[in-house]
Amino acid sequence: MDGPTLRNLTDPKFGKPSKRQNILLQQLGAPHVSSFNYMVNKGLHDAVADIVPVEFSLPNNDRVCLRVEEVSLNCPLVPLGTIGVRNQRIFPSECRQRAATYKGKLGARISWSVNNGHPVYFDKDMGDIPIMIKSNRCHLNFMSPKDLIANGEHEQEWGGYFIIKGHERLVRMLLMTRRNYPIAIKRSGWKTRGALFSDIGLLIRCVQEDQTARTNTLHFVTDGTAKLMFGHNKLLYYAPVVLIMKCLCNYADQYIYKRLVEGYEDDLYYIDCIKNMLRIVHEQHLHSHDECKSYLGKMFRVKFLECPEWKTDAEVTDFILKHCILIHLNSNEDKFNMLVFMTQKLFVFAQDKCKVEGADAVMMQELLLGGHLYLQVVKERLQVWLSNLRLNLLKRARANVGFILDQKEMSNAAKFAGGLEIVMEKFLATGHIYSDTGLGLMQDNGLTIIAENINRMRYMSHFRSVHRGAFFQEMRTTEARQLLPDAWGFICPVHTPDGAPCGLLNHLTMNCIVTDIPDENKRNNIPSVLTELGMLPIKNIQNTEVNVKDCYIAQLDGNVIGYVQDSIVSQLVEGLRLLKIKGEVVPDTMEIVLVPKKKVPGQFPGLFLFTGPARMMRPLNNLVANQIEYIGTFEQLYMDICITPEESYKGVTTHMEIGKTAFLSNLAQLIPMPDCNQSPRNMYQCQMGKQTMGTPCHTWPTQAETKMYRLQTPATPLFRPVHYDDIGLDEFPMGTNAIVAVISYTGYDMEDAMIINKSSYERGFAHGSVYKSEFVQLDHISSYFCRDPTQPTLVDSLDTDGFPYHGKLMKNGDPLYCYYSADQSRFFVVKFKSKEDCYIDNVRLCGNFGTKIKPLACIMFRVPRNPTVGDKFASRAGQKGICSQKWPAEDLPFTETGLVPDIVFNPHGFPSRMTIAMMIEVMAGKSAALHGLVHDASPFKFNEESTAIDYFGRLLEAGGYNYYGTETMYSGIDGREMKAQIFFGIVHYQRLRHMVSDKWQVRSTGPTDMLTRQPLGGRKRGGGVRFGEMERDSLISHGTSFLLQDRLLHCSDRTTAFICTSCKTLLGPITMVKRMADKPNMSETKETCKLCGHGENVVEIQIPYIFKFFVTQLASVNINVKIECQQT
Amino acid sequence: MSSDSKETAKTPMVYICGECHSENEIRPRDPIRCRECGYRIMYKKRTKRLIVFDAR
Amino acid sequence: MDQVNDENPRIILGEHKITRNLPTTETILDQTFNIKSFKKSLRIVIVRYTDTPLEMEFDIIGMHPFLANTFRRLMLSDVPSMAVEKVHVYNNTSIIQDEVLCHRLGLIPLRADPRMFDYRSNDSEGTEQDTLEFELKIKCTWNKDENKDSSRVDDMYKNNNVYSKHIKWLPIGNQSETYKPADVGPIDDDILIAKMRPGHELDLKLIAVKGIGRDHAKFSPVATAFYRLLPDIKLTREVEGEAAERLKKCFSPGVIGLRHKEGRTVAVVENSRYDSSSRNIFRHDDLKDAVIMTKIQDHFIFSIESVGAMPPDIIFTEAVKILRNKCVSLLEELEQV
Repeated sequence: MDGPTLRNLTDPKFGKPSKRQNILLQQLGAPHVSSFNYMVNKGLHDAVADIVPVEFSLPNNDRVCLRVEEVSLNCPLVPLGTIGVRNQRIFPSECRQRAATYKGKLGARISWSVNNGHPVYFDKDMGDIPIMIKSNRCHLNFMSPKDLIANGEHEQEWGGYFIIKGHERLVRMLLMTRRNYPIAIKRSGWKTRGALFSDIGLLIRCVQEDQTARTNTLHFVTDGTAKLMFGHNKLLYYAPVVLIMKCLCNYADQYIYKRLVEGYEDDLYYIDCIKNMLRIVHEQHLHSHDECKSYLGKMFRVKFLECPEWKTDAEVTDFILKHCILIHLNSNEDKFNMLVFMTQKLFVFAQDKCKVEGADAVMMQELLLGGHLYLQVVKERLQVWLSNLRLNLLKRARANVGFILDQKEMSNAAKFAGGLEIVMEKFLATGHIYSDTGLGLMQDNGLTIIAENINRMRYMSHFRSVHRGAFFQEMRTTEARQLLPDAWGFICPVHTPDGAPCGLLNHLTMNCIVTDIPDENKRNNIPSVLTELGMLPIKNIQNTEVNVKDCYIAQLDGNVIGYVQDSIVSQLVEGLRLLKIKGEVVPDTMEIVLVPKKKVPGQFPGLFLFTGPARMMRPLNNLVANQIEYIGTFEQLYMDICITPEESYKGVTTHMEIGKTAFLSNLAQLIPMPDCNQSPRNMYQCQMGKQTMGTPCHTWPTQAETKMYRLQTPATPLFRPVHYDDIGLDEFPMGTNAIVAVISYTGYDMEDAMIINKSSYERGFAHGSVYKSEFVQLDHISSYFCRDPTQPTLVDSLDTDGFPYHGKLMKNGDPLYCYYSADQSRFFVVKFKSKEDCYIDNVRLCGNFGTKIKPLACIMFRVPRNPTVGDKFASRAGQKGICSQKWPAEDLPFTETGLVPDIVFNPHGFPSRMTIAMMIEVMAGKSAALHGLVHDASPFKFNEESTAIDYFGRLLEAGGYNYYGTETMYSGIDGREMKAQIFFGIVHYQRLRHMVSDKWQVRSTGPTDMLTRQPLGGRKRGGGVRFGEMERDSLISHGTSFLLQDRLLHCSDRTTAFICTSCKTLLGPITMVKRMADKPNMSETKETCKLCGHGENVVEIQIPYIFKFFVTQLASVNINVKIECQQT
Repeated sequence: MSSDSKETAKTPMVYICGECHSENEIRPRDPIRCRECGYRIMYKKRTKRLIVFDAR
Repeated sequence: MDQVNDENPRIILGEHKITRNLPTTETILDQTFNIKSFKKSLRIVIVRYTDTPLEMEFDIIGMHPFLANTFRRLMLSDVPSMAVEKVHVYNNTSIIQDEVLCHRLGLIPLRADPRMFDYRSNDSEGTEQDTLEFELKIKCTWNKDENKDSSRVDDMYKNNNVYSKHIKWLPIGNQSETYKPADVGPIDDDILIAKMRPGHELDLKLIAVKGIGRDHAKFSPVATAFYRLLPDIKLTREVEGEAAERLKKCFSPGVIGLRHKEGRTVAVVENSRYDSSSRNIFRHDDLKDAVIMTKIQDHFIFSIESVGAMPPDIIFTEAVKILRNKCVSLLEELEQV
């Protein structure tokens, strides 16, 4: 493998866009884009076909049936009829600049029919819905880097997100339960689901062709029966599994019994249970298939309002079976087979003959992708739209006597049925869904996130982040947060935040891919291919002599397709694997899971094949075929994989990792030598890398983000992993190479503080700016921006258009813009409000389509943010520190060669943190600068025999420096040579975005709370820093009671109050205002107690106001507070 | 400065189209649309005013 | 150890610690400062002086470290020079932001003798005595003359790179009589200030004043000024053969030489002055006892790298003058007490 190079800095082709985009970067957006493309190409068609037609009867008993026939999604275009526009296409860059949504027209074809007559079709514009960037409905799709740049994008744009009101938003990838596989789970909560329910069950998340998901659970009931759970509109229902089986197919009890006990003939308990379950159905007087069906329909039809009243009970049952039970299977026979398998597995599991699988392991998980969720929301909204249309029709029908449904009425009703424009935009803007069905999700909040572009690292990490779900965030247990061994290679063990989302918010590894929809033909080939390889199809199994007991069940995407005899199974799997690698007959993203039969209870055995989308897979080297094979999370569990060739065992090892770093995520691979750090430091670095000031974009003049950070003097690190070059991070640099002296020199560098050389700072070290934008929308359509001609003082700060001029220094209270309000018929001057001075970067006017638009403008500010005391810096080894002083260069120590450090780092930072990588970096950076090299910092390059220290030490020695990286230094203060040798070198330092100017908070006096009269909290409001309980405890323990009184009484809510010492109450005394007897024009006040009627015992005391408030509140609930007072 | 400002009060402000970069004069109440290409985002052109900066 | 106990105060570099020798006579480090004996013992030897770059290396022998350090500090922070302090921006349509551009301009070293100028008081108008004015007016355009096919940026555009040579001096008052145009302006012509593309324009007026490095690094007259102690390396025994080669590699080139003596290769100390004191000798167990590394504590090797406005010897004498003036004003203050 090649090491990193500095060629980016000297490349003569610098500035020329490359021919093709970087594949690694394209993978970031790939799962999102491919899922959206699936939706456009196929998903919408399938989903529309699955929408339940709305059937209802009008007051005149006409039976109406409404259907959505077809929908189509268009590219974002200028609305038809807009004149004078040269380019009809709307590009994402425009939407970002004017805070618009990147959206395209959704058209639908609706049909209606009366009394099963001929359907009438009409087209309806459903409004514009957001389009994913780089999807096949986006203009950027297939654009070359050169064209992308021409259209205001970055060369490497990977898309995958939406632009909603100017913000880049992304549908979060959620970890979901693996589809179409019944998982053995123990969940104590299940015991409360009904009488005698146990904690044992099989959970299957069924996903049908159009990605609609429903969960079914087969519960083990402690009386030896099993009940199947199905859900509808967020409510759960339970039915005996045998009843469902009898409803599914018209089989005789004998046949059902035979199928259920097949292979378990020696399990007497199980046979008993089956017999019992079959009997119970008969006890309900349900003997035949039809009786069962009408019974089920009768019981449930009240909950299934989709079925009109003229449907028979059996038809309702068909509806339930189609839409609620094992919906991934189309035929009832398949569903029956699957239920048989599930029942068998459940009873094996209940008898502890197979192990619990659990939904928290990555092997049982897949992802929820943006396009799939988007499709579900569209589908549901279309369904809602149909019911709205029904309501509108019914309203009109009831209002008008003699109502006859015709196309005119229908169009009118459709006009007021709404559209999808606002709902879809709102869904993506808030990440919230309002859904009746719940879409099979555990959460209705936090489904989308902003793709914040603080720097390149943060931006990239959003696209690979996977969340376990908001539901687990509140859970006390840590089960869902644990990093399990089966996550190896799929979920990065390093890149997860510390704190609340720890272990729940994870990141995919660099190599991990998310599968797309498989080629349909190849998928359909699988059963016949398997049969050729020796599988016995399920249809023929009855006719063969083979005992099912000696077979593995074979399932394809949750459909039982046959049996494979134990003797040939490994051979069959091997053959199938070779076909999979070729990928010509069967999909190469197929997951072949052979759960072997074992003597001790293990996972329930079987041959499970998965071809579905949204599964995590990763490439491995297949040692048999010597080719790349993609393997899945479940599959990996039963494979023998080595990392290096030396590790492989002949005849056992079948696969080898592609690289040693394949288990790391994008960001973790950017840490220099993570193998030399204490592991939490690597996690910290993953977090801090995302908070670094850097170069988030190259399109500064056209930016409209609310806040962006920019480092003015970035540099390329001299010690970096190969991955840094692979993803072209030199184009978005985010740190500076600092000369670091590891020395305890001043006392200002204690406790992670660090000192910056003042001269380095003055020469531009870590200089930065913050860009802020402010969108201004006027109150009325005919309002306009203009400088008030009557106010000559505005001339100095505003131009005639009412905006400030470029480069103006804005101070708090300066006029920001001026406009004429048509609403109030006068000019308004809006003042600039900020604690910080900033410059005007640019001003832009944003137009829009349509006639009723309020004027919109965007003002960009530029805040200079050069380092100050209190700003945060960090090296790339999780070593963060606050700048405590800018130390004059002449006072800093200097080396034999006259070098003065940029940063003084306290050596006490090393022993407890054990960030050896940073120490190596000091030496590597120094030797790189010395010899004009750039060193490879990829992990696992060095080992105990040839250490990094030795390698870089030799390089330093060759350059005339000390082998250990130390140097003789002279004190800058007294000029003498120091007695200790100082560790001295170059480290790539990052400037973090946490800066004091965003955080400082100070208060002497200021606003108080109205109710409590205590000082307010919060920096924005000019409040104070809370003096809380722990601070109070501290003062008490010091015995500083006057200080305590000062803080909590005098500086807070001290009031003088009156108290009646005889009634002992605060509430009695009132102040009477009386005319003065001698001076009738003046009045005097006198305190009297209302309770005792006179004011003799009323005295003035000092209390916290909140106490008076408390006493009053207690009085409102009839509690009197008596206060003993003593005069001192 | 004052004579200068009177002059600027008469001249409409110049804006630059975000797509074709042609200069447009936009008066208050004008629709925000480039006269050349119909693009909808207009950037204000820098006006020549003296601004003093510290070189540090 | 007798080899190190001569009349010089020495630091002995041990493997794990630094010790001092026991000089035979009293040295400058032991005495209280006395101008008479100081004058007698002080020696200055200029070792190297180059014009491009303006650098000087000289030895000061017989001085206490505090005094040597004082001169170093004064050169860095108190010797004045001229630099751009204010920038009047009339127009800047380039992609570099106003304040960043101005910061860059401030750091451009200017050719002007600071001794000819006064310090400018805070709010006064600049005069010919205390201010230099420059102008940077440049516009990038398409290059119509060159062949159109070229895709090199330098052929396509005119003025696409703004260099320090584009800065024009605007004499004020009688400055045009006092100075020749060659005396005033940026020292280097090829400092890249900004990159531009057709349509971009800069129109700036730069105002330079006199200042000191303590206020801002741009006023410092030196790139760096530092000293080190004179290393002195002695061999305690004869080292020969392969060991001699290794010994040579442990020191900077030219420190250890190899002599052929009776068919053997023997290491000898040639010139220990330029040793970088890397102490790598201590990594060789068999060699570390063969060498005594010392440094002479009152022998300072000074290096001054001038930015270019003043020659290094002038900078040093200026520093001496500043120290003298400081002492004079201190004495005056003390008298008044």
